[in-house]
Amino acid sequence: MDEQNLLWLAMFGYMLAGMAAVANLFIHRSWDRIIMTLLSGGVLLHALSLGLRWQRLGHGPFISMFEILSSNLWSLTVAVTLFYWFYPTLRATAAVTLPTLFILMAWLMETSPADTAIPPTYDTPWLYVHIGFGKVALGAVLVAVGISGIILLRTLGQVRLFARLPDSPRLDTLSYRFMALGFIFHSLMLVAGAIWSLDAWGRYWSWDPLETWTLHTWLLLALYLHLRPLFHPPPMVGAFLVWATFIFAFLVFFGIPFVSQAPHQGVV
Amino acid sequence: MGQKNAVSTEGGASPNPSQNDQATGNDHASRNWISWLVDKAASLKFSLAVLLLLLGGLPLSAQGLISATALLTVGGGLFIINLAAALHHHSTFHAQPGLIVFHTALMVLLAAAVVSRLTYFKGAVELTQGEWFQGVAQAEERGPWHSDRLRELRFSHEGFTVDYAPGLKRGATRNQIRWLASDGTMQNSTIGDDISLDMEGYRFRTTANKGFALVLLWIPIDGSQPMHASIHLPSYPATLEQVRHWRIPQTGIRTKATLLLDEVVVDPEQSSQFHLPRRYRLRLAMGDGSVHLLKEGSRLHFTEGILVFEGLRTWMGYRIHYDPAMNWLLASSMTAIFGLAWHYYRQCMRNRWDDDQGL
Repeated sequence: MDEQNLLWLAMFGYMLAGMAAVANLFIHRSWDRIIMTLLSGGVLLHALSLGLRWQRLGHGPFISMFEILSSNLWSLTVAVTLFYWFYPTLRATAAVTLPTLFILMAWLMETSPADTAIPPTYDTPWLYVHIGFGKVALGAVLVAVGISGIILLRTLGQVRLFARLPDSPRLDTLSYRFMALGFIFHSLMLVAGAIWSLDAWGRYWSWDPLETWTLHTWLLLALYLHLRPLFHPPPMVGAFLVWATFIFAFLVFFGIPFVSQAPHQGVV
Repeated sequence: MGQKNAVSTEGGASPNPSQNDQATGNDHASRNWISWLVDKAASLKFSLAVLLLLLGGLPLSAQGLISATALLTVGGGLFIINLAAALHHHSTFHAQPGLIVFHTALMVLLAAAVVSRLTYFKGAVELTQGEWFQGVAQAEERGPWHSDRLRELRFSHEGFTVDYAPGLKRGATRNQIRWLASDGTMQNSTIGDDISLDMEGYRFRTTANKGFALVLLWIPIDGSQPMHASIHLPSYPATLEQVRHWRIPQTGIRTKATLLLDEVVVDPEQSSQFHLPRRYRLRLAMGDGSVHLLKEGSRLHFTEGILVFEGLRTWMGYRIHYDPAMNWLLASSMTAIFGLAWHYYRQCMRNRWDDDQGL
């Protein structure tokens, strides 16, 4: 089976898992094992697809939009799967996180999987470190988004669906911790990116659009982390802020490199 | 107490008790005022205000509406005051070593960022093959406190190769250079891509901006000194049409110089390497409509002098970067991240998320 078919199969698994996670809320039968199998199987097939492409092209999946979306879909699904595995009481969050990933899947299907070549400035281990930290950061924020989604759905009146989950203040605390984890890895991503940039282009920071907006994301995360101990906002407000930060980070991670004339991509 | 009063009186302070009370009152008021100021400067609300200032200022700085140096100096300075006051004022920090490490490192980071913006240098220079860098950048941007040691630096561009994959996808660049070390010895190196030439804290890096240079000699008919000229044609192979308008120095003679390549230099269909071609001609179109085709060594006679086409060389565009605070930035940012991670780890280990009501 070729890499493209493996990818479709993996995405099919993710979609089934997402639909099952949503259905699980309404049907009082536990499909946890099925969802876990679909997620794990999808992640493995997707990893195989990415690996085959990596081996064929000789570089990691981070040059074209197709590669960036595909590798982030994989890393974010890994984050969701690990959370699903380690936090069995909070598996209902998959009903929020997996449908969120449907956006990436739909976008991925629209992009061209054409082969890419690695620019010479991308041939450094710091690039992998930079990207790896970024993926962990976004994964942690996505998990926080899933937890916050439950708080927001409860606020919207869907209390019965999540009756067996811990109360919202506790969920808010856990969400805050994942945001803090995201902040730490986002900071590491910035530092590793600066080292790569210095190696590749001779400067560690140049205020290009991607750098500037990534710094905005970092400041937004810092703002969120300060707001909670300062104002003790109710869980609903905290959850809203998590979602706002995620949407902003999502647009920066996936939007800026492809709408700007001179992001990282423009200075290869 | 009595002794203190006696000393106080002997020291020239007012013997009037009411004046002493007033002085103590003023002292208290001044202390209260300082305490109020430190309290405000140490508050999280002040941190929030500075964060908002930076959040608001960054897009304006990115648009070029305000200077990044001013933003970082003001915002960074306020942040340093906030962090220092918070560390001094809030006893909660003393029980949280991770937060002390984080905030102290953040202060150093901000101070380093301010120093960086005040002393940095960014520039660019193009050198013809065989030409020496004379310490002057052709385009530059510098912090107000930059001490210019660039003038003392010397290196020469001695030629380069660039690998290309099919589709004109640029690969490795290898640029041979000679440079004058600080001990006065001449050194030979190869730089390119992630390998820079580092001299006195200045980093010189090759760029994708490079190409062919037409080297010409102008011999004035009036017997004055002959002049060498080098015309840098547009970056190749980014621009395949190698044309440049040019005026012969100290004359009114204008020409349109076109390099005609009689061989494939970089083949877009297969893997190849940028190199100087062996077969080429120079086409000079003059203002009067005449056209001349010159080979290497050809001479062209004008009433004002003789133009000699000495041949084709390469030129390379270099980016120059200087930042003395770079290592401090890296060390402090890593320490800050470590402090933060330590803090959150301790918090998570101390309280389970499902046992407490918040961090």
